[in-house]
Amino acid sequence: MKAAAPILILLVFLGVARLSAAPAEGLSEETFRKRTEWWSLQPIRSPGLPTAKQVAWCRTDLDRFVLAGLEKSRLKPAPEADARTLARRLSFALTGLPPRPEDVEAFVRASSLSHSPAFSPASGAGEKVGKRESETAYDALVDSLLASPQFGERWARHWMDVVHYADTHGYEWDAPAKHAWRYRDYLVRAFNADVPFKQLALEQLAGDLLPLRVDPCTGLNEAILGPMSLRLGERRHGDNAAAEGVTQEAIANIIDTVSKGFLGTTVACAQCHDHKLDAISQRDYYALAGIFMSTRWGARSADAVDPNLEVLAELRRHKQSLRGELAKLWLNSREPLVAKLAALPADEKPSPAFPDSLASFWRQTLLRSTNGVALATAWPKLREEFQREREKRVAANQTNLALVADFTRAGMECGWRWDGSGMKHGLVRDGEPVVADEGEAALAQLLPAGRWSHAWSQRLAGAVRSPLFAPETAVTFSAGYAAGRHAARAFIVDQAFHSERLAFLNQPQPAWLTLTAGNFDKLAGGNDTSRARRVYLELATKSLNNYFPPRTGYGGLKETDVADERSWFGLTRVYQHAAGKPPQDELARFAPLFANEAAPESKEQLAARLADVLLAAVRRWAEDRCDSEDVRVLNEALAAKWLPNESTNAALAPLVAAYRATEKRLQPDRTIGSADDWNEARDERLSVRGGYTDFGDAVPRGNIRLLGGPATRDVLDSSGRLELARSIASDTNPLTARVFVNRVWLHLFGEGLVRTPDDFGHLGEKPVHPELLDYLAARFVAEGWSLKKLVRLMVTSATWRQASTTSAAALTKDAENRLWHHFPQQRLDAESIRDALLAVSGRLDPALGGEPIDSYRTAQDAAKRLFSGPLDGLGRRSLYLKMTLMEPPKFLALFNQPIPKLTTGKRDVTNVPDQALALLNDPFVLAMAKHWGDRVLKDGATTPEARAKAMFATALGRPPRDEELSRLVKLASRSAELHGLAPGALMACAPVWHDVAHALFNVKEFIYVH
Amino acid sequence: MFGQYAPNELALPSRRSFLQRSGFGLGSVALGTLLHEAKAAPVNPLAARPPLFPAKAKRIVWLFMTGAPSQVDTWDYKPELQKRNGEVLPGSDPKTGFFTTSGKILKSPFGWNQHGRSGAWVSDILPHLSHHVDDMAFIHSMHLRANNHAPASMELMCGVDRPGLPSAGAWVTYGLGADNQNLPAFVVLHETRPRGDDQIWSAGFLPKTYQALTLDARRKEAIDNLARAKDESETQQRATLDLLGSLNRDHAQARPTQADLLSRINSFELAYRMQMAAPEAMDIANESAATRQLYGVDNKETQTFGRQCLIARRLLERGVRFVQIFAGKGTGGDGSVNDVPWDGHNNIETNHRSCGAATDQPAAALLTDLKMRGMLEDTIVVWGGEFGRTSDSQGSLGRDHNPKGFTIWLAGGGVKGGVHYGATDEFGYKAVEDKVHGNDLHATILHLLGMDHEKLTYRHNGRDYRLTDVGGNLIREILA
Repeated sequence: MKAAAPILILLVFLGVARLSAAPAEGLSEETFRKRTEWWSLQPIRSPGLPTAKQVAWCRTDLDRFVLAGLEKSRLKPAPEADARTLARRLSFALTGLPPRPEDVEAFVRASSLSHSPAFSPASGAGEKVGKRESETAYDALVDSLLASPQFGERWARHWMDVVHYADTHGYEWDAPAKHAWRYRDYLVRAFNADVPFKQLALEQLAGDLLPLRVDPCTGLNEAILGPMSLRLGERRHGDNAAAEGVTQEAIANIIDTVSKGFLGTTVACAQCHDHKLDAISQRDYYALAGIFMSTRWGARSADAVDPNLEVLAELRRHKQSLRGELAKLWLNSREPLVAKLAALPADEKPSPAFPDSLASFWRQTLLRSTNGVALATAWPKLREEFQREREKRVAANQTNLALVADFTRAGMECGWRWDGSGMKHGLVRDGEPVVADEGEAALAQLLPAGRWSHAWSQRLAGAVRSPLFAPETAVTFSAGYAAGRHAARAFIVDQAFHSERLAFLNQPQPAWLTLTAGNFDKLAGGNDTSRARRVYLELATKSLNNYFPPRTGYGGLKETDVADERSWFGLTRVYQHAAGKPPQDELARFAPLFANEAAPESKEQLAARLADVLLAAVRRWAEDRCDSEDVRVLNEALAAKWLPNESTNAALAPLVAAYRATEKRLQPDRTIGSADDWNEARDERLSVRGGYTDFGDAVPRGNIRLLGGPATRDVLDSSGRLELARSIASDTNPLTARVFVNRVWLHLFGEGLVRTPDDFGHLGEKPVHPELLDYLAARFVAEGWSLKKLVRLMVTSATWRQASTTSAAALTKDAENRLWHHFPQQRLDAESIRDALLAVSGRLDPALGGEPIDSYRTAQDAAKRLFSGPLDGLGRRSLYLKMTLMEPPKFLALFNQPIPKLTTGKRDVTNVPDQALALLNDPFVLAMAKHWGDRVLKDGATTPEARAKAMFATALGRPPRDEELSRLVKLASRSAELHGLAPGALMACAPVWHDVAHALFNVKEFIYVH
Repeated sequence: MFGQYAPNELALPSRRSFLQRSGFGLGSVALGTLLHEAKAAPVNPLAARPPLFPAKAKRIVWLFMTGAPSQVDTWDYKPELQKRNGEVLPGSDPKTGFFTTSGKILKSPFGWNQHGRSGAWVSDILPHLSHHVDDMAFIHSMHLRANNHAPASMELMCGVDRPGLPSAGAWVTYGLGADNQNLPAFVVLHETRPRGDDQIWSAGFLPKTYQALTLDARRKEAIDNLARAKDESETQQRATLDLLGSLNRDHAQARPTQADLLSRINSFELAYRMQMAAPEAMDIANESAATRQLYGVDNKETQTFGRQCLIARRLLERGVRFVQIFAGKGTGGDGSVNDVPWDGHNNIETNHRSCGAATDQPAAALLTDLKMRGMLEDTIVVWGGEFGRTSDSQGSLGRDHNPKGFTIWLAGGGVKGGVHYGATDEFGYKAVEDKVHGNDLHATILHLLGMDHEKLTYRHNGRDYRLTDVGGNLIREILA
């Protein structure tokens, strides 16, 4: 038993064994069984089609379910909407943009030709209807909208409500969500490519653990972009050691989002207690918490295809040539070198230790010999001192140091990991030159063997991360490193998202970075009482630093530093040692000075001797057989300008210029805040009432029990996130497909079949058409989880094509339209309103993707990086406005774009006077009216009627009725009158048409679909 | 105001009917839940509603001392603290605050005197407010869980320290509606953006109708889009609105079953009226010289908070239900961050003197002015920060956050004056006697307004939520 103890402790740490055998708290078997009898937890079974009388009305099987319901209540469906209404409805539903009037008219013409009779002869019950549709204009329109790139934009935005997308993290400083926009673009690409939703679910939960899915256009690994979905939302800075609960709060938000978003289940409330009604216990919460607390939240490189191989090959050639030229120059510079060394002054006082540079050696030797001791007498003493010191240091290093990780050879990192293309291409031998990317020096420095992110360019990224340090004991270690331009190191405590144990590194010449980790008492200035923190070290360049840029001003950072994409660091070796016993300089580079026992006879001889040491290093460097000591000597010579290194040197200039020009062609790493799983997992302990310091037993991490509980893990100590992802993205999971299908229905029909889209539990509403939901879910799964097929099925249905008017009888019987006796009129969502303003006025820039654009603000707040952008957002769709969590774009928020902190399956639709005020007076709306009004002056129309008619059709997708047209024209003449115009001048007067445009934006129909 | 357009043009027979209909639209989404039944008769969610029981208070103004004033330097006098400066603070917990404290007692650097008939101790940084102590009910035993600005502000305003829940202002507006249909019912005035931003005045899951209108003191335009475009005349806008009225009416008539359309027509009219009503409410130009002087609006030190307090009084007068002012930065200070002016981490003396100077006179002026106008008896005034500060020092001269004990006072409608409720320990460090959580404060405020905190509920995700979560004890001792 005694012998087993250490192993047991280890296993307890890993969560494999549990000392406490206390029975699980939580739901009794009986309660659990009862609660799992709930409708949404039953397997999805594809039901048979119900019988109905007026089957001829049906266009799809879907309609049979609706019709059966209506007939049971003795209701009739509404007639089919007219072609123009359908064209506008389809366009907004599928792309979020209004149709162009010419497309509407083309569709109207085509449908009048191809339109089949509304009621074809009734065929036998159960026989498929719909074949007759295959050739119709309607289908063609649906297909073309499904194929348009705007489809992906529209449906990405819907999903972004679920994961509460924002480009920043709010809280007190609104720190950026690391390149979240790459995730937004990933969604757009995925929905456009109709990637199966099952795959998207997998990727968003565990894309970092899946095989690469390479996008052929961008070369990005799509899968690794997915886990950004978990990170979005309000996140505090700092970590648990500073303020207990920081990570737990984030995890609660993740659990809430995942459980509501994918499963329509509320698990987050079980942080403190068992669910009151659903089959969710507090243990389920901590099973999930164990998974997410065992996940690292780092920035990752998303380049699957290396875009730089050719450019790097070119850089290699340039550097090779440059090295050759430099070697020639340096080998030929003995005379000036000796002169420069001889001109160095003596020192003022000796340094306490043995000097570590040639210059200080020179100065101290001179100091001794000028203090009344001849060089010949001082030298043997110095030599003896040197040898004694060197032996001492070599011995100390042998005793003190244990190699932890070796970055000088591939595969010897001993559990430490690197990321980024800078690191990938940065494994170098001693003496690798770094070409300066600007300025008067040709070379910035030479590198010792190791892995260096800037071996080719400071624009390439690098990160190095350590394994977890032992939680109880302090570990002191030293890493051979150099770094600059806000490369940083941070200790990440308890998977903190934004560790404020972040320090920027500025160490141009290689040195030792000595750190102590695992000493948890020290983490919070001696106040942290937890003995079980998880801590790892991260070194990263800007783009792979999860918390860069940090809050404004942190560490003296300026906004110009944020804008500069350059950043670099590298590592040689990492040694662990006792505190206060870091690696010592073994001074090997001085040995050749003393190889010759004879003392130098003069200052000149000493200078010559130093020069020869240097030149020997140059020779070895030229032959690519130098060592790290040579590198040190040569770097000193470069820094002191003893050797020619001017970028203007005739021999060097063209090569330096060529290198610099080529370097600019490198594509920097495309990074994103993602996730990582290091097989260092541990289970979470139940918290008593959700507190952060009062614990019960550990809960095996894994899926919630109603979905099968913890799965058998592929790797014993993995987080279990991949297994969770698989059980969610599963054909047999009763919830995932049902919940997603319901979301799609909601976006197309304005309400879900289940009207609480984020809650399919006891507190949610039960569906009126459970069989229809199952039919759709089963078909969705059977058809490969294809969103486009699902959307096509729904929008081609007779149900969806109904008019939006209904009878008084239907309203009396079913005021809430739960039986779908008409298509519910819908107010456009915020993005569609803004996008329609852009589209109708002709200002829309249809470009896809890219970095977000700051929204327009009347008051900026630089301290939180809440900057103001162009009034019209450069004409880009609302999807691309920067979603700053702290202050989301106001115009969109006004029209109910949800606050991106929590999952919003169904948006509010309010009608408040501020909305009316915005459409009347908002400068953006006025600018669009002006843009449009200016544009129509060139439309070639000869009468106000013609112009007004065209504008009306552009805004509303239909020609005006006579009285509407006459009113609009009357407005134009009244406007002309108010502007003091003669009646004839109206057609060329821009302000009149601004007014007409502005009025059309304010017609209610503009913000509705029928 | 209503004479400017002919009612028949908008097919609105009377003002009364218009208001009914405009109300019909103002959040029709909310209707079902508002009355807990699906087929509710159309009501205006912002229409004034009678309280559950007769109440003294009709409205409330909350002076939020952003950044958290120190209780032991304002209202909670502790002789032991003064005596034992520099000694070890018994029971000090260095993790109380956000940073780390010394564990050594820091005495209050301010002078203390007793005031009023009730003899309340007040430090000399609040000379104007000290004249009003007999109207104030002090709660000295406030405590919260969160120890940083954003979550604590959420906890104090929304009942729990995480986002997503409605704030007190939204709840009160939901419960009582508004007395003026041309103005929003819940208004927040701020200068810098407080930590926790929108969340602390959020409507949460309540209909957005109850979300605060925010007035940023740094901006020229108080309400977004309230002003017509420069080149658009009122006549021009009227012409546009008339056209819209007719077009939209046609449209609505074609769809008689769509109530939402009609309400949206009316929201244009409300917007049109707000364009006049709101600037008038916020324009202090016509206030008398005496009033301006009272609030200190022409004095550099007090002008921001003074303007805010004066505007608050005007809003309250005009029927706004809930006004909340987040105090902005003072003019002096100790270099504390702008958005948390009272956050005296470095030097409590310079910081609190500056914040006191910026807010004391205006806050006192508001009490005086409300009293003069006979409004104090039905207006609740609340003064306090998101937590208190430590009794031991941070560095040598500052104090860290302290959610374990702090003081908030109430005055006005239904509040008993000159009362002290609850107490901190002898060093003012932790609440020990009659502890009061934010939930208890909310229960009491709702009671003062005639609402039962256990009955003011809203069904969301299948659960009846309350402002007071699962807590809330009424503090009867401070009721008049």
